[in-house]
Amino acid sequence: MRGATHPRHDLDEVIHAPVRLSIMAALSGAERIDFRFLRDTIEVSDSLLSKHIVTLENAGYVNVDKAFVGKRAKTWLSLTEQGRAAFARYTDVLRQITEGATRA
Amino acid sequence: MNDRLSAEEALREIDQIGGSVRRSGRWAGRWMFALGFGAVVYWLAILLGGETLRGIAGWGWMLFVAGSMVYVFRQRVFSRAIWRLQWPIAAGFLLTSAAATLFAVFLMPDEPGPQWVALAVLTAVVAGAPPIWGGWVLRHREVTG
Repeated sequence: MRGATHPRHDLDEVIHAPVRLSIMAALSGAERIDFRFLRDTIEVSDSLLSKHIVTLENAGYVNVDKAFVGKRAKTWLSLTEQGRAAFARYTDVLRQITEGATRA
Repeated sequence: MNDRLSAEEALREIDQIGGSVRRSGRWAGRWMFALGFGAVVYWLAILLGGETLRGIAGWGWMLFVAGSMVYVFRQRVFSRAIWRLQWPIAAGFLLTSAAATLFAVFLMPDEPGPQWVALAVLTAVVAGAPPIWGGWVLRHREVTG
């Protein structure tokens, strides 16, 4: 949008979707998280979580690391440096919006 | 959950989920304390205990290490702090454990006097110091965020 100055225009649309926001919020609180723990924490199905993880992975925000111990697979998820920076920018914009709303 | 989130809702969600994940990552600090104080008890028993106590300490330590491996493997959240601290703490613990072993094998007399007992207590405390320090740092970071 030309000449747009409201901070909401700076919101990262990749992150600003309910499930992806929850994923990014969870991953920002740790170095790495097990897939099943994340699924249970944000209360979504395996398939929905996988779908949004792919979106975040394609954006370069999330790293997926599969490890096998014997026959059991464990999937670890973590934020990339790019993902951490994008999430920090995203929360800054949210604060600008809420602070603007408080002042108005 | 709605398709659109307001900024306030988004910030609340970040606080709630981020906080929940951080709480789940607190196991590492508690485990570090257990490892450190366990090491102090182990070395006190090895350096100052009789044969029976040394045997119990040896078996107890092996069980503790085996249990620790299972416990750590079962964890599903690793905090950023433990990820950064794990290698410095492991290296420090290896060094202090090696020093305690050398002290026990080459220096500690069979019938120690008060000064040797004091030195043995100091050695045991130093041996457990790296994980105790790690537990303290992790606990401090949990409190201060």
